[in-house]
Order: sequence, then C-alpha cells, then structure tokens
Amino acid sequence: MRKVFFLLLVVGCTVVAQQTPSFNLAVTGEKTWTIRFGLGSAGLLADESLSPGQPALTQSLRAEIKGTALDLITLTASFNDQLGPEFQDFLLTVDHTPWTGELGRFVVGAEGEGLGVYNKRVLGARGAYAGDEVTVGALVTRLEGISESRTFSGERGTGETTFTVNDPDEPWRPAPYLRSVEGLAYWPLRIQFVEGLSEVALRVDGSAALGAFLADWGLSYLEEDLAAELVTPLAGGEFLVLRDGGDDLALRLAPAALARRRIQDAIDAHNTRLGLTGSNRRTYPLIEGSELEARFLDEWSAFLSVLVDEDAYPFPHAQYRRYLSLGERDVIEDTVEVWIRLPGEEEFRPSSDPDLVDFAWTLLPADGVLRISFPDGFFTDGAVRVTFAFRREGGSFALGLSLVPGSERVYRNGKLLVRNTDYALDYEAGILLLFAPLGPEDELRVDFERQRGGLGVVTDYERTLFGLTVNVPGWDALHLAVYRAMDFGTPLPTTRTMPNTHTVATLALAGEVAGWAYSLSIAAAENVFPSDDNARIPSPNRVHAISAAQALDGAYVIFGHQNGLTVYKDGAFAGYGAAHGLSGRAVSALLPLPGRLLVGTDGGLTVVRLTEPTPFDRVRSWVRITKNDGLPGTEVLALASGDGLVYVATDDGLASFAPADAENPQRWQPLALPADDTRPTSLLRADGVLYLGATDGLYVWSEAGWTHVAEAPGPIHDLLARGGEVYVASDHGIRILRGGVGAGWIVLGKAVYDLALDEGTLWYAAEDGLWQEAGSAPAVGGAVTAVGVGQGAVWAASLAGEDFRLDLWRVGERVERFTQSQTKLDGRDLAQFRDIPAAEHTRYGISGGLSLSRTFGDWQWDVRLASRFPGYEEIGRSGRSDGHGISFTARYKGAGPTTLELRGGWDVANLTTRPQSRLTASLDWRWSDGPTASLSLTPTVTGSGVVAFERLEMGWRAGLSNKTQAWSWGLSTSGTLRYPSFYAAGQLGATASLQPATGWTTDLSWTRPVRTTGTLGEETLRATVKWASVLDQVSLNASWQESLRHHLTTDAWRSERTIQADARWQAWPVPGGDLTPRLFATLTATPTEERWTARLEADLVQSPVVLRLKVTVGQGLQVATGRTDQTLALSFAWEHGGWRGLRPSLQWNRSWTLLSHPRYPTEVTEKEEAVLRVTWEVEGWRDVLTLSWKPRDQQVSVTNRVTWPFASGALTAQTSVQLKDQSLDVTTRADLGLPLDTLLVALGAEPVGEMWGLSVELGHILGLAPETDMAHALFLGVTLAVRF
Amino acid sequence: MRGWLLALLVALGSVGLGQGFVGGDILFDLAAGARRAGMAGVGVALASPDALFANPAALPWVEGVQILSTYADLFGAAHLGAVSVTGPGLGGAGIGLDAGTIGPGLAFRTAGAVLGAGVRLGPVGAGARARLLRPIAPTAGIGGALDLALLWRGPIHIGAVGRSILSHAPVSDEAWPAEWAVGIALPMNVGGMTLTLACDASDVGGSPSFAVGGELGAGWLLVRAGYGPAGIAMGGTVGWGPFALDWALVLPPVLPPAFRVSFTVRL
Repeated sequence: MRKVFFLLLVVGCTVVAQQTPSFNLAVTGEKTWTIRFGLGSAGLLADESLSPGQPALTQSLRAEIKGTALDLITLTASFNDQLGPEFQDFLLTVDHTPWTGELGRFVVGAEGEGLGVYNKRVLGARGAYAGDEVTVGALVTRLEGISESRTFSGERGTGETTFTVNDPDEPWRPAPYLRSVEGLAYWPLRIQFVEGLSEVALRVDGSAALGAFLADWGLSYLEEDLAAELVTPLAGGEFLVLRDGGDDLALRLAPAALARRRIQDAIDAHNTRLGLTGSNRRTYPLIEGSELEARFLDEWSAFLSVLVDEDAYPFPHAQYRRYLSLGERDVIEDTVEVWIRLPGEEEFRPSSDPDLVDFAWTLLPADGVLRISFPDGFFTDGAVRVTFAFRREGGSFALGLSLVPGSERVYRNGKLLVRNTDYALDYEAGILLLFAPLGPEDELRVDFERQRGGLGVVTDYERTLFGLTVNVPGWDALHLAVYRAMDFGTPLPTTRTMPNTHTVATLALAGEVAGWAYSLSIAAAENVFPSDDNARIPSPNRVHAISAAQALDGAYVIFGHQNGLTVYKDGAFAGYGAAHGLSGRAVSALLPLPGRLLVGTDGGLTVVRLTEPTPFDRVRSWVRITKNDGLPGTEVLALASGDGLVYVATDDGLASFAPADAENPQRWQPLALPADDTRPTSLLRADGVLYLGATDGLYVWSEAGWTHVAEAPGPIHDLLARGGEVYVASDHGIRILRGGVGAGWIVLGKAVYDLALDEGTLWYAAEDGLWQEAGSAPAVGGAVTAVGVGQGAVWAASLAGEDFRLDLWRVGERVERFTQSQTKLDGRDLAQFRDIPAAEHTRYGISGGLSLSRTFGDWQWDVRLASRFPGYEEIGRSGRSDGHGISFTARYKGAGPTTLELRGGWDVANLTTRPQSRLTASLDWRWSDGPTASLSLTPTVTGSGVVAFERLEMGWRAGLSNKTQAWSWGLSTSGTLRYPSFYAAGQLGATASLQPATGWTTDLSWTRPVRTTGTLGEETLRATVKWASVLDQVSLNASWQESLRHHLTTDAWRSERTIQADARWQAWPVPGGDLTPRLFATLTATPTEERWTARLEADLVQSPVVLRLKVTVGQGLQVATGRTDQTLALSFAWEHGGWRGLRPSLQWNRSWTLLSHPRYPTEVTEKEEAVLRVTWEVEGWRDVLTLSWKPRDQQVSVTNRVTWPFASGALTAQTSVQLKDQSLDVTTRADLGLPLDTLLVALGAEPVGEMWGLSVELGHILGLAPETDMAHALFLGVTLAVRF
Repeated sequence: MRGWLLALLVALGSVGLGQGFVGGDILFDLAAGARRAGMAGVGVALASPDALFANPAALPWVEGVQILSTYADLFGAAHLGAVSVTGPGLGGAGIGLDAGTIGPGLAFRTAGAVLGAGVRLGPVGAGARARLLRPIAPTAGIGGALDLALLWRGPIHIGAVGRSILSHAPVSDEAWPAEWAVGIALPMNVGGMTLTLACDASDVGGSPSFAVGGELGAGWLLVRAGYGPAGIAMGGTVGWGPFALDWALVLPPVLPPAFRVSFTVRL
C-alpha cells in the first residue's frame, strides 16, 4: 500500500512539472539561534536552564508561507518548530482546469461534504478531474487520529459505582479500598469538628514497644527519624468529616496505605538526614501487596492513631460497613438508585425490593457518601451498585490529551457549534471551554480524534484512507463515493487487536419530482474487525518449570509460567511478576542453588536471594540481570548446574559461572551458540558433558565446539540425567542416550514437555497427561506441560484450555488438584494473543434517507424518511446504533398574530435486536397581540417493539403574560404527564413586577411543584425590592431579597435573606484634593451561615497625586458549629504622575482573619504585601525600580531594569535581589540588542540587511544562604535573529 | 542510554531505523537536514547544503557559503539542534541533543561535531569526514569516526559513503561497525523544472535496507517524497532571497508523524 501511496504522490507531483516557473511568494516569520553558556553554581544556573560548563544552543523558527505560481499552484504552510508535528500545516494545491489536486493536511467529510466519512483530518493527497458532465475524485491519505466521542449532560454528571467484596477483575484479591462493601474506615468523634480550627494528624505511638517492633522488622534505623516527628498532619483531601447526627471522621485513603506512606516518609527523612544517595539510600523493604507486607502493616498500625486536636483514635479501633464513597461530591438526592446483590445471587435487585427491608441507606449529598445499614451476613459476598447524578459547575470539559487539531465536532442539543464563536478548545491539554454554560437539560456531544502515539493513543497498525468519488450533476446531482479505511500490518503475538478494514459506498441524488423537492441518499458499509469488536483472544497460560527451593523459613515449591512466578508454601499460593522484581514477564526456566533461586525470563535473569525468611516478599531479595549488565542475550531460555558451575542459555549465547558469581555477570565465561539461529530450550551438565537442547535438535559441547546429535531430533523440550543415561524429551517422545549414543526410547510417538526424578523414579509431563515411568495410566489426565518435585511430592501443571482453566496437581499418596481460586494463577497469557475469525467479527449495514419538501398555500410541508440498519457506520464516527423513522413538519406561514407548527414522527431503534419504538407529535401555538398566550403539547409514545404503546409522556407548557409600562405579570405551567404509571409532574409559576415609583422595582415570583406521586419538592416564594436614586452628590442603590422555601411535606419555611446597598459619591473638593468615596454593604442569612461585610473605598485625587484607600470588614457565623470569622482588610495605593519622566507608585495590602470558637483559642491569619514601583523615563531612557515586600513570607525582592535605546539598538540592564527564607539571590544581567549590520559595518564587513539582529546577554547570579558558602554563577548568551 | 537513543530515533523517523543496531553515532543521522528526511533518508548521490551529513564527496559542488540549521523539539522532552557551515569543498557542524533532567540524578545530554572536506576532479569527487561524539550525561565519554566518500556526477549520479572506516566508540559496551552506503540519483529537466529520482542502499554487505525518493520543482519551490525503512516521507522547500526553508514529515507505520524543519542561509 505504501508503494501505491508513494506512486500517487510522485504522479501528483508530475502535474506540477508541466508548468513554467513564475511565482509570487510571501513568507513571514522569524528564525533565532541562541547560544548560552554558564559557569559556577549548578543550583543557581538551573534557574536559567543552564548547566555549568555546558554550552546550550536553542533555536526557534516560525514561518507563515503563502505562494502562488501561474495561478494554478498554491502553497500555504504554517510552521512553528516549538510545537509538535500535529501543529505543522502545509497544503500544496494544484488547480489546472479540469484538474485539481492537493497534497498535505486537509479535512475529509466536513459538514455538508461528508457522506460515508465523518470529519477526518488527514495527511495525504487527493485529486479531482472536473469534466463537462462528470467530476471524478480520488484520495489517498494517512489517518492521523483515533475517533472518540464524549457526551455531557447539562449541569449534571452521571456516575455509577459498584462496591464488592473482591476485586471483580481479580477475584482472588479483595476489592480496592474505595470500592469495597466494607466502606470507609471511620471513627465517631467525641467532640464536634470545627472546620478551620480542628486539626487532624497521624500520630505514631513512640513507646518502647515501637523500638522492639522496628527491630523485629530490621528497621531500627528509623527509630530516630520517627521519634523526631511523631505527629504529622493529614492533608484535607485524605479525610472526610461526615455530619449526620454526630461527627464521624472517615479516611479517603486506606489505613494500610497511610501506614505504608508513614514508613516510606520516615525512610526518606532518614536518607535526607544522613545524605544517603545512590545504592546507599534506604528503600521500603517489602513487596507491596504481599502477605508479608500485610502482616507488617497490621502490626505497624497498632502504633498509629488519627489525632483530632488532642483526641486520639487508634487505627485498630476504626469501624467499617457504614460509609460508601461514591467518588463525586454534590450528589443530587432524587437521582440516587441503589441496587443490591445478595450473597449467592447473580442479579442485582433494587433496594426497594420488599425482601430488602433490612437494607437501609441515606445519602449525604454534599460529601457524595452513602450511609448504609445492612445486615452483617451481606458483607460476606454481597455487592452494591449505585447510580447517581451530581452537580457540576463551569463551562470547561476535559477531553484528555493530544487531540488532533481541527478534528472536533461539538453539538449542543444536536446543533453544531462553531469554534471560537461558541467554544474554545486547547488541543494539547484537551480542554474545551464553552462560552455559554449548559442549562440543566442541555446535552453536549463532542466528537473528536485523539492523536496516535506520543501522549495520545497507542495503536497497533498503520491506518490509511482511500476514496473515490464520482459526481454527475446532470443526472439529478448523482453522487457516488467509495471509501475504505484500512489498518496495515500483521498482528504479532503481542498485538491485542486485529486490523480493521472499513468500507463504505454511498449514492446520493437530489432534484424535483412532481412539484416536490427531494434528496435521496443510500449507503452500505462493511466493517471487518470494528474497533469495539477486534480484541484478539489471549493465549492460554502455560507452566514451563516447577522447582523446589529451600529458604530459612522452610521449603517452597515454585512454578514458572507465562505471567511470572507462583510460589507455594504452607498451603497457600502467592504470585509475583515484573512489578515485584522479575526481569521479564514470562518465566521459562528455574534453577535452585544454595541460598539462591535463578529464574530465567524473557527479559533477563532474576536472582532471588533465599537468605531471609519470606524472601519473595522482600524487595532486597530480587536482583535483576539483563543484557545491559552483561547477560549474553535478552531472553534466558534454559538453566543448568553441574561440576561446580552454573550454565545459562539465552537467545544469543551461553555463559557459565561459579554459583557465587551469580550476581556478578562480569565474571561469567561466555560461550557461543551452535549457530546464530539456534534457539535453546534446555541445558544439562552430566558426567562432565554439557548438553544443549534446542528447537532444531540436541548439541553436545566439546573442545572442538558444538556437535549435533542426530539421533535426538528436535524440538527438544527437556533433558535429564540418571545413572549413565541422558533422557531427551522432545516432540517425538523420550530418547535415551548412553555415552552420547542413542539407546532406545522410553516413550515414542507423543510429545513430552518436561522430566523429573522423584527418588530415582522418572516422571514425565506429556501431551496426554502426567506419567510415571512404566506406568500403565497417567496420574493426571489431559495435556501436562511441567513436572517437578518438592515438599516430598510430585507436582504437575496442566495446559490451560479454551476455558482458560489451569490446574496445578500434587501427586503423593493421592492426587490433589488445586483450582485457580486457590492458586491465583490466571489461565490467560496476559501478553500473548491469538487471531479471531473475520467472519464472526464483521458488521454489514445499509443506510438510506429521503427528504421531501413542498409548499401548499400558507403551509410549508417537510417529510423525511430515514433508515440506518445495524452494522452501518460512517468511517470515523464513534458509536453505532440502528434507527429507522418517518417524520413530517408543517409550518403555518400566514400573516397575523398567530404562529403554528405541527410535527409528527415515528422512530424505531435496534430493530433487529431489541426494537424500541417512539411515536412523537408536537403542537406549538403562539398568539401575541399585546398580551401573549402560548401553548405547547408534545406527546410521545414509546415501548419495546416496532409498534408499541407502552409508555406515554405528554409534555405541556402553557403561559399567559402581559407587560405594560408600569407593571408586568405572567402565569405559567409546565410539566409531563406519564402513563401507565399515570402521574403528572410539573410546576406552577407566577411572576409580577411593579414599578410603584421612580427608582423602585418590586419583583415577586412563586413556584410550586405539582406531582401526583413521588417526592413533592419545594415551594418557593421570592420577593425582591430594589431601589436606586441619583442625588446631586451621590448615587444610591439598595436591594432586599427575601426567599422563603419549604418542602411540601412540611410546613416549616426556611428563610434566606440578602440585603445589599451601595453609595457612590461624586468627587467633591476637600482640603488636599477631590475625594470620591464609595461604600458597599452586604448582609446574607441562610440556615447554615450568617454573614455581613462592609467595604469603604475612597479615591483622593489632587493632580498629579492619586490616593486610593480601601477598608473591608466582615463577620460570619457558621450556624452548625458556632464558629465565627471576622475579617479586616486594608489596602492603600499612592501614585504620583506630576513629575516629568518620573512616576512613583506604592501599593500596600494587609488583611487579618480571626476564627473564633468557644472551644479554641482565637486563630489569626495575616497577609501583607507592599510594592513600591518607580518608573523614570527621560529622553528615551526608561528605568523601572520595583520593591516588593511580603513580611509574612519573609520575602523581599528589589528589581531595577533600565533600558537605554540608542540610534541602532537598545541596551537593557537588570538587577534583582531576592531575600527569601534567609537566602539571598542577586541576579544582574545586561542585554544589548542591535541590528547585525551595525556590527558588520563597524568591523568593516558588508552589511547583510535590516532583517538581521543580534543580542548579547551577560549575567551574574550571587547566592547566599545560611550555613553555606557564597555561590556565584556567570552566564553569557548570544542570540542571532532574522525576521522575514 | 540506547533506550533513549532508540526512542529519539523512532521519534524523528530517522533513516537509521531498521538497520538493527542503534549506537550513539545515530546523533549524526538525527542532525541531518529536513531535505534528506523528506526523501526518506535518500541523499548519498545528491549534492545539497547538507552534503556534510549525506556525502562529503559532494562538498566541492556546494555553491557559496551556506549555513544550515536544524531544530526539533521532541515531544517537549528533548531538544535537538544542529548548525552547519559549508562552502565549496569544506564543511563543519555542531550538534547538541539535550533531554535535560529526566529524574533524580539522571539526565541525557550529548554533543557532536562534524568536519568534512572534499575535492573534485571533473565529475568525480572524493571526500572525508570526521565525526566526534561527546556524551555528557548520564555517562561521559568521547568517541569518533572517520568516514570516506566518493561521488560521480555524470548523466547519472552515483555515490558511496563508508562510515566508520576508523572508529572509536565513546562507551565501552558500544561499537561503531564499519558500513557502506551507496546511492544513485537521476537528475532531469522537465519543462524547465528539475526532477531528481534517487535511491540509496544502506549497510551494504550487512543487513541492507533501501530507500527511494523523488524531488521536483523550481528554484522557489521544491516538493519531495520518499519511502524508506522509517516509512513514507514527504516535504518541500521554499526559497526566497538568501533563505531557504525545508520541511519534512515522516510517517512511520504505527508511530505518530515526525516533523523536522531546516533553515538555510546562503551567503
């Protein structure tokens, strides 16, 4: 395909070759080269992005190019090398009638153009021939992104959270903390929690027992560091205070995670205190998630408490089974649905089920927490699923990183929005900012493409789009198009998906028949391995090796398989992978040595030190040795030992070494493979002879090199020695070699994968089971891939089948099977995959549409028929569904005060699977002739089936209003009537507005929900009085808003009150100038908070001096806790503009916030900042001195910047002094910028043009810090720039 | 270190991809201009401002003094910059690659220099090039190589470059094996415009890989495309006054497109 693509590009170029060059080119932009160099302190230079002694060259290029030639070739390009490839645009257009062509980046399927392709930004070429009667076009492009779609609903987000006992993906593990039915760990607080004053911390019990505990775990070195900081604060996001009756403090972070982090923090503190770096640094010693770590954390937690003020709540006393965190705040109460799955059941039931009367829950909406009260028996194996909606604020929407620029389509309620008019989109950060916020019922859909690779989407294949179009305007605007998007490439064993091929063919006609304007389109699609149905099947897992090893705490049996290691001890299995210390993912060989276990993986060799109890759970037990360390290859395929040496066979060579040198590959002796393409499978050292089993047969090593043993054909799977004989397991059976010569077969005619000796008896794993030598029947049936001996028994592993069941077996006096729930061994190979058949993963579909339009008198009629069958998808549109429908619209366009529109339609979705039909109609009537009356009825009938009348939703909206000069009023009702549940829900509303006198406005509004069943909601009454007056010297504004609301189930009204007033005086003369004061005051009172604030501002202007003073005072009361806060803020600004060339200004801000509560001492928070700026400008000179002082942060900075422009350039010198945290930095820099010609002429050289400029920078940084030596840094930079 | 080099190589869609071995000297391929990248790496038999990198035997055909600079921001993670000055028969370049601080105590930074010279006798040119590589971090060292080159510019152009005829790798576990690249180019005049078709074979005698490319246009505008081990490439050149701007977009099979731009000043 790529060759075709290339050919087309070259052919496209030859079109250009027909012309005579004459051109008009406009290039604008800038190119810069900067060389910088620094000497001195590395820390100081880091602020300048420099390293001592290292010159740094940086460049930039920005160019906008537009060129034309012969009126037929156009080049437009935009380059900025500071941005990524996706932001570079170029398009070469050739327009030579009747031929047109484009090469570069363009969009296929944009609005109005697309039929079959949905707005794809592509890179490639397309061309067209436009003849007198026909237009033919073709395109070959590379698709740059992956289609995605996001939908946002109004001011709401929706969520679904399921809480289980075990992790659904790995059922042998407990569910994650925040998804466990056990819920959050919490402690009922003995005193009320006061926000802003109560302090929460983690406390370590520093008693003598702590030292003993640390010593037991080899962590005595942490004793001093822990004792130095026994109490550490908890961040606000790590806990919740749930106010439901009393106060409960709950942890957002699992207690075990907090406990682990506290130890890790102590280790970091230890390293910092002692300055430990590199290999000397202490690290967390335990494998996270291991059973040993669980035991450690359990013991460690006994020393930990959550401290609320002085009240301690020990970790072991934490309670559970009450609070489930939904993961979102501000959950909307009416939207929560709780579904419960009882232990032993498969299906979830709604919590309203009569059988679940013992399951009670309440929502704490602000915190997004469900408070539950469930029977204890539920927590053994039950599950809870919660669906809910939550409030979201703001108009920004996160789409994720690396969007393809220009690829988006944004719809608001189905209407396409325009970029930079309706929204803005940051393609790099993936943030969409909507200029007009969504209303509660609005839906925002964003279709876009995400960049392949980089920070975007990882893909397995190259994806290319081909297209061919034919237009015949004379044949009712006939339009034919065929598009094919193809993934190119062959799936590797590790590839997770099959390559997709998506083909769409379309036909469109438009014209007029019998007075009707019509538009017809028909399309068909074939989608082979569509993106949601292309996952390849995991390969079955396979155990390659079984071995026994002895550690200090006893004997282990180890199983090596495609996903890592599984270790058995004391009746329990544990799994380990690359995250724990393995060099690679798949294990192919095991070799126990005294005190060590060697593990051969596809990423190298791993040495597990067995010198401590529970060695597999300790980080320091694992040593990785890879090719970079000296391993003679990437994959370790076989291991053996004998005659005092260990042998390692890799994919690229062999090595031998003494067991003591296992972790020191520099001391290994290399040995070549028999041939470059030899792939080892097994090794054996017996009777002084080294045997190498490989896929192509058996080899024996001697001083003369490798000798192929023809009598033992490959592929070899295992080698074993007994007595003077060597047994060779292969696809053919078990061959006996005696003295290197074939001496018969133990097994012939079936594949044997592994061999083991148990007290002199040969066991072998074969394709038909586990066999004992000379046995008449297999001990274990089915395919067995590995056999080994350990803990006094024979162990075997069966090959995982199509159901991914992989069993382990222990064969002693009886045969014992270990299921996967016991072994925790995944039957899937998590990184190897198999193909799936295309026939079962291909979707076909057709789509068609017909639109008719005609005018009859005052009525405009539109009829639409459309059908999209299952399987039809446009290229690039994410999501799919089938739909079919017919609709009409009739609009009355006559004269008069009346407008009327009738609509009707019938739609069916999912026709072939679960048909859902919808019959809709609407009537919109409006009459306006002074008073205005409106009525809207929107009945909708839906149901399952093609024609179904199961549910009726009748929406209504009616209103009557009038407006005169002095007053206005309105009555309205809206809502929905539903059947067969037969209830109505809506609201009644009334508004009245009166202007009784000039300057006075009174607004009244009333809303009352109307529901025939369910939650009734709140009735609201709001009255607002506004007054505004302009007197001679002052303008006055005041408003008083009183809101009363009550839930319809209670008579208790809640009041909210807001009173605002401001006065703005005109400037009046006072001694010293003109004074312009302003006064603002606000009082708010809600059931939870009462607050007042007052602010006085005054400008005193005595030209040329301007003084501005601002004083703000306020007080608030948190009703629930009785906490009060008082604030006082002062601001003073002074500016003098009367001195020619000199402009000084001073700004000073200071604020105090006092928090008071009967139980706590008053807490005062102060902020203060002063900035003095003096600007001096005279005869082109400009000097700006800025002094900034932040006493609370102990920070002072002084900056002076002087700019001296001269005839041919400018000189800038800047000195800044910053004192912070007792450290002083002084930076002095000078920049000289001038046209390059100035320098060249001065040097006697030829000038090069005005567009060239040169800038020289010289700077010095001085650093002073307590208890350290004075530090210096010097930096120099030269920038050459050209503007064009 | 090789992992970083490989990542950078792939990111830039370098011509070295597919040749099996990635050493520190790949920096010199990364520094090659956008013209060569836009032809999928083809250039052994072409004479161009980046002859210093493509084939130093083409240096005698360089007209005037040309300053060529190339810069790439690699996903915001590393900066590659190169500046070369070439004149008839002589050229030199400096290259810097800086990934800054990657993690605690870990940085990747390397620098290189190239000096080349060529002589011509009629249609035949011969050249030599010295490449100096100085890894700075994480491992410091110094290494270099001597390359030899030939070019015949008859009705067709044939070039050959022997890389690392003499070499000393800067890091002990790395080797710069000698390898030969040969190329052929066919320049044509089509309707007053120049059309050049070219083909290169790299690592001849080892694991050879091939690249083909074509370039068409007049003085102010050239468009080009190519296909090689790194995938499909396309690009162009616009020239105005003493300046020329080359760009290239390389489309690796699976990875995202790689972009490169070069700026040339003709003195």
